[in-house]
Amino acid sequence: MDCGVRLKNVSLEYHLFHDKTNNLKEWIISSLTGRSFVKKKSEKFLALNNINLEIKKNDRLGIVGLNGAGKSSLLKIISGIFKPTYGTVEVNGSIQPLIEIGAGFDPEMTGRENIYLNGYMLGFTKKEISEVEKDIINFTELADFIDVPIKYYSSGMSVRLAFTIATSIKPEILVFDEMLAAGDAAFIQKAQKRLDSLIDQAKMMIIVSHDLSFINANCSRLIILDKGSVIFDGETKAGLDQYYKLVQSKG
Amino acid sequence: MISYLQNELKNCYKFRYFTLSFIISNLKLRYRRSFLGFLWTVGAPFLHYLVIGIIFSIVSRSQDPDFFVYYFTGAILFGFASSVVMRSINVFIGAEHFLKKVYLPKMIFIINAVIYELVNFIFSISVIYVLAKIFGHLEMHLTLFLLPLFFVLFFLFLFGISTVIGIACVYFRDLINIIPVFLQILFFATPIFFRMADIPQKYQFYLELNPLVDFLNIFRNIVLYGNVGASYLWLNCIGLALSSTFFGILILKKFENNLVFKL
Repeated sequence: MDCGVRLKNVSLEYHLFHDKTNNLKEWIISSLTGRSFVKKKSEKFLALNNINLEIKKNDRLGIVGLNGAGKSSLLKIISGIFKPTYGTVEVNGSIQPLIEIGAGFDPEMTGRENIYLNGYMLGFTKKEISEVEKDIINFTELADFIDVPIKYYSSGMSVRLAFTIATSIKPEILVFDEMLAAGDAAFIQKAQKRLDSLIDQAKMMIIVSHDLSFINANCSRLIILDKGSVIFDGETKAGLDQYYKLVQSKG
Repeated sequence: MISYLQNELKNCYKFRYFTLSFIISNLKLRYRRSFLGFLWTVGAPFLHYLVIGIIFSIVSRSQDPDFFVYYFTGAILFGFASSVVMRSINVFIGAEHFLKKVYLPKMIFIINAVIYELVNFIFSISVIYVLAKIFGHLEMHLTLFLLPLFFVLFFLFLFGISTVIGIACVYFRDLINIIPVFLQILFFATPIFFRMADIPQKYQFYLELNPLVDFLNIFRNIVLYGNVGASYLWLNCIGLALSSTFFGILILKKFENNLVFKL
């Protein structure tokens, strides 16, 4: 089966809790008095509004938009972390969301244990991880630190480890959100190379970034999100021009 | 419903190594850097019940030598159930950073919690055989072979309960404080340190409503008395296990997509 992603009329609604009380007392009182209590406390907010999107094999899709436009929500919908409130999402192919670096780290565990834990959380088997284990340890240059609980790591060290784990698994569909390369300059260069080869190997890539030159260099297609709606979908160059205008009009 | 369950189980199977590493690393981390290390998994319940055994043998006027094993069997089974419930309170709330950032089937968090406590429970069972040498006597009965079946039923029962509690606690945070109190009440409403026959007839009916009574009854039959246990008891437990699981999955299906937005 060829890989592909299809979103049909997808909307995502958030409930905003103004003060975070989900109170049993209020629920009982309001159900006794017949008042509705959920509506009083929460406000609905449409993070994504009726999105139709088809992403095909070999697409290199960039997503841009101002803060709060729904970019991350869209990525989370595609990777299955969020389910849409309305509409349907179809995904064919193995998918690898790199939404947040080090999302599943357990600070009490050693670097090596975290390599396994992270891999397991992405659905890989022990064998698959042990194949890349050595490569990860070499690339991070952590050496002896790999068997130290990561709560003792410097922040640069844990970012290096997280980045390397995330990029050592080769999915068909690569989804990532604003990779912040941290570490010293030498590592950033190494990281850039690794990312490039990962992008080359993926059958499909979906990326959210504020780094427009990165998008310009790597993406063949661009969509602009504004307040939860797609306002542009097409060539990267034309899209970036329009995005500049949007930014200027807001600024 | 069936296809939902199939799909969920397939996903959970895909993440089986996650469960495995969760359990192993939790067992390891809990006693990391202590001198005895992993041995504490057995040592901790041993000391706990040893102290209770000593106190009871001083305080209790009961001359019944079976009392200790009777009490221990009740206490470890209740301990298992209550620690699963205590874990389930926090099972989704505590996993916020996972739920929001990586895709994992929600069910797996519950499964992890129950299996982890089940492992501890099995260690505790082995402990009472040692303690029984000091305080009373306990034989290895052939009926112990029924224990796996009992585990399956109790697992299913607790799975359903903890799913409902885990989800309810996300929506109603007050439950976090109410449930421990409720467990305390349940402890005294379960025949752990008293016998059902000691209770006035008219109250027995109310105690029978406690689902733990039937499970405990079977558990004691298997471990303590070497009986298979009455068939109605097994039927009750099968019924409780299946209905609890069914209800749990129903709730999970209804709320799992919204859960992440309520954290």
